[in-house]
Amino acid sequence: MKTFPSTKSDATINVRDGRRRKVVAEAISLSKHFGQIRALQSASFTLSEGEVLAVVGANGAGKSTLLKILAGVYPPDGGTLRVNGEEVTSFSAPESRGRGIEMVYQDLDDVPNMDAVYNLFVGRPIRKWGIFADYKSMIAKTREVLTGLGVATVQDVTQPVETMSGGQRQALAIARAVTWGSGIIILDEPTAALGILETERVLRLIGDLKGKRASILLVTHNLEHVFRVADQILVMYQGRSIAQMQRQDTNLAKLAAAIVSGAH
Amino acid sequence: MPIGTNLSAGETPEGKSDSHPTAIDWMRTLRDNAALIALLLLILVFWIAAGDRFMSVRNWAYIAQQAPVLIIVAMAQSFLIRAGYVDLSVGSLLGLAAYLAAWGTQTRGLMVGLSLGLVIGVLGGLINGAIIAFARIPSFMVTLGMMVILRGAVQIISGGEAIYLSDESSGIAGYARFDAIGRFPGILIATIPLCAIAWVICNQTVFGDDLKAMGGSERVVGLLGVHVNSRRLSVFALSGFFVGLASMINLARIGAATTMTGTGLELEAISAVVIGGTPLTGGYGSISKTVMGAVALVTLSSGLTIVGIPPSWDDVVRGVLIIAAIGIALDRRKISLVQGDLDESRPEYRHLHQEIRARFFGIENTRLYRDLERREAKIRRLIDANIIGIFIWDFEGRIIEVNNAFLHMLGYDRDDFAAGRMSWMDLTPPEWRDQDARLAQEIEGMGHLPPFEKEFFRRDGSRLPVLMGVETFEGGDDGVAFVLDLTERKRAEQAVREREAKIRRLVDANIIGVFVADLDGHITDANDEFLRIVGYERENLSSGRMHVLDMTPPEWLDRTMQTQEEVKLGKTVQPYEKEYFRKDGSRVPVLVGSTIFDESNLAVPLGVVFVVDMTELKRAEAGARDIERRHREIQMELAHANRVATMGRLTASIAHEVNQPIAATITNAQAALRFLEAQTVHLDEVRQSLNDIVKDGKRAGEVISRVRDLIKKAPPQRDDLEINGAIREVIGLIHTEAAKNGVSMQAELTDGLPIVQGDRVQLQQVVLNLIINAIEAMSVVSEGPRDLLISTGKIESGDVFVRVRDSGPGLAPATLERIFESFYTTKPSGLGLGLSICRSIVEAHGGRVCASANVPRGASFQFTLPAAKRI
Repeated sequence: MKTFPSTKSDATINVRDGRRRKVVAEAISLSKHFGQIRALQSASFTLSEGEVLAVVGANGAGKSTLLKILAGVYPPDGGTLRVNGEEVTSFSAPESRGRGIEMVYQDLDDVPNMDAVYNLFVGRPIRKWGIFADYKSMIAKTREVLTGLGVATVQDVTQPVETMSGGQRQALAIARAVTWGSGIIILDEPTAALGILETERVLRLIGDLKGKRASILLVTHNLEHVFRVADQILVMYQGRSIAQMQRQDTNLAKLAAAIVSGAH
Repeated sequence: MPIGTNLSAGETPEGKSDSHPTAIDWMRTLRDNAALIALLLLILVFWIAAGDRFMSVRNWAYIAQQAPVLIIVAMAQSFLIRAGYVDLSVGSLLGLAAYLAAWGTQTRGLMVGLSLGLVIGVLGGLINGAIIAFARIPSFMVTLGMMVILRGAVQIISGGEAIYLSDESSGIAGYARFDAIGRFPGILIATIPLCAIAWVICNQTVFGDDLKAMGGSERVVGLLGVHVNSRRLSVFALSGFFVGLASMINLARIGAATTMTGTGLELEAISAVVIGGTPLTGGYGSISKTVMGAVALVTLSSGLTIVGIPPSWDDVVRGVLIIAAIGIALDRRKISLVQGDLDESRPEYRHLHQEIRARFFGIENTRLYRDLERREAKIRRLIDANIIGIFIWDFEGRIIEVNNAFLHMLGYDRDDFAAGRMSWMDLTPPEWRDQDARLAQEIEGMGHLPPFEKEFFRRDGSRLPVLMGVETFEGGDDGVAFVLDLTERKRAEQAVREREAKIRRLVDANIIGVFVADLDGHITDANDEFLRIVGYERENLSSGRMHVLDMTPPEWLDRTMQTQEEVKLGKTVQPYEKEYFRKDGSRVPVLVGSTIFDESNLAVPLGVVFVVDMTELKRAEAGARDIERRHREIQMELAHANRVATMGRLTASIAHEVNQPIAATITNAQAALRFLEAQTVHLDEVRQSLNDIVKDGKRAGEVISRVRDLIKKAPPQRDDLEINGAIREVIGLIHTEAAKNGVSMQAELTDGLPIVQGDRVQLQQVVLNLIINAIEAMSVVSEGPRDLLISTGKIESGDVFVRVRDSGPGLAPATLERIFESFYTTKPSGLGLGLSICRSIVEAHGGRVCASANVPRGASFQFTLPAAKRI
């Protein structure tokens, strides 16, 4: 078991590989029960700036619960969560967003009957005179963002997203997270609903994001993807985080064994 | 550029444009533009079918006057449907807002009224929105409930009364006139900017985008940071605001608010939205197409009228056309603008309708009167005859000529109508103006109308309910109206309704049986109690199998048929007793009363019969008779036994009593003989002796006469009997007597006593005698309890004893010795035979009777009976 850094609030510097990296999020023994079900018993991790932390585990290991606590969907029953060095005491989705955490949900969570512009700016529109929507500015910004992320395949940003491909829609969701997230992007199974080409496109996008100083928490079942994009790997087993390790410290076989048996 | 309104969707998933539209694309285009296509098609169809009448300025002005309310409410509905909600309460909310606005205008002036209407609209919307947002109940259910609640609220607030605004006091109604602004109603002019505002809200604001997005996926929109609850509240408030505005327009158009204002409007509004290409699932919608959908509905309605579709078919045709136009099966309820008052099929008016048609409209079908002049001459004669109210009117609504009967009905003078001074509308109360406007269209289209009901204002402002028949003169732009005063009929209807309501309560209570039959005796309706009495099922009733005469036993047929005749004559038949056959053939005694249901108003006069089940009563009477008879029999038996037993016991007494005078007679006779044989006959002595003989003879005769009444009967019977049972019978007989004397009678009868042999009646006589003695003895006691204890038991010898103890004054020791002797009595009116008879009976049974003092007081009588010898 890896030894976690000091839990003191000023210990926001993680020393690894001889490089000093800022710790942007840190969880200590988070737990969550839903009635009789112990979805999360004790989960701890450290996410450093500019890194991709992959969370792996079998179904029901508590991955999604952990992410949702981070995204403020619901509060934990116990444990501590620090974001940018500050302990989080109040959990809600808007507050989480206020801390710079953006979440991309696994099941293409966009508004299908609305266009890319609306989906990119939902909840944060550019306004004119208070109530009117400034479509001109928003369309221009949308094109700029999509081009900047290399997802220029979306030709008409004013068509409903339900007419776009799954990859385009996931790219749009990630684009939204990148545009608005000031540090941490949570990707919950971003490739689960996608075809091979689409998946490739999204993985490339994740790789690109690292260079943009975004810290990414990635949940996926696909261990190949983990080894392609992750810097750190958190293994979950039956509601517990049993290990957080560096990618180079493990391999596919070991990781698979840890996921299945809970030992490493 | 507004985004998201382009739904034609000629895009493949890869985003490449497909230049060849597929069939699906065509259907989509068709659906999305259903309103526009429907509207154009309708106009085309009606233009061809109705020609100039449809494309007249007058018709378009009518449409322009009818459309605004629906347009505004449809837009309010469109906001909600776009966001994935639906509001079924808009019609009721409009009704409430209109009512309070009318009230406010009447009491505080126009500005207050209008503000009140808007505030109510917004409040109603907010309440809906708050429940949906915070209680998380689907809008369909919330607004369904609210629809009913608000309609109820209007009823409560109004108490069923409508509010009419006069043109002068409010200035609002004039605004709605056809020609308020140019050739168009002011309310239409006011609606146009509202449409523009609605369009901007939906297509140019952040709020509008969010609504549309919520219709697509409310969960995601909330997840992505939009304050969904505030949007919910806002959109319902906005919708409510528009409903409030629509209520103003409606008030201006009708000049009145009734409890029914806005009924059915919610479904019309939803229809308009759906015709406008907005799916009910939310997420899409176009204000302009919604507006066109509303206009299409109103155009359809007016067009159907003009081409002569009967009003009863109106809804059906409109429904079919809507479904065809949008390609969506929409659950559609009644969208009628005009309620069913014109419905000829209402049975109570069918006669009247037929009568009027026969009298006035039959002429149309008669060749004789095809000739215009002759026809008008006929009408002229009718007018002059003054049998019914008649006036001649033109298409401008002016009343050109009236007859005296009509003037008389309304209380006007002929001068009031001079030179078309009065118009049809002037005489018409506000809430009838809608119907009349519609009918005016119909008559222009069809030339005549089925008779319809409406009201006119009398000169004094009161209302006159009338039945009207209207017909145009061929080729002209004027026509004639026939007016029948319905005041009496309405009053009679009300009386009938009240009476029928009373009867209905009686029927439903099922306390007595009630059935309704025609005058031939076919039972057409009955309540559950009647069916129970005669043992039939409700199915028998509905299959028409029940007939009064079939159910009546032969001996009651005459009386029943006589009753039917009396009912036919309108008499109320006094209740009488008869019998019915039950379904199983048995008879049931009943008390029946009959009356006629109503004389004047029903096509088929009916009798109503009230039936009370007498079975229980009869059974109780028969039971009472049985008990009485049994009682009398026992008494007679007892009396007889009394006599028989007395005779046995009296034999000795009689012998003794008779012997003595006979012996004395013999002695006296011998003495007299000796006196006569003496030398000197002392006649005085002889006379004395003979007198003594006479006296003794008389005494013997008296003794004998005392027993003369005793009748001989067979000797006592000897049966096995169970003494306790016999005693219980006696107690049953004497119970009331004891209670009457304030005596508390108790029995301690030991179970398992041996059987005794004897005459049951005689032994009962003994017990009865002892009990009566005890009761009589205690009746003289004024203080202390009056307790009587009857006990049975077994003594050592195995014999049975019966003991009667009382708490009376008791017996003196000297009395105890003589008490069982004949003719000894302690009672002032006693004969002195009771106890001696008791003793003779008991001793005849081989038992013994004795009396003793009771402790602490009173007397105790006991007798024993030997147990029967078992073989």
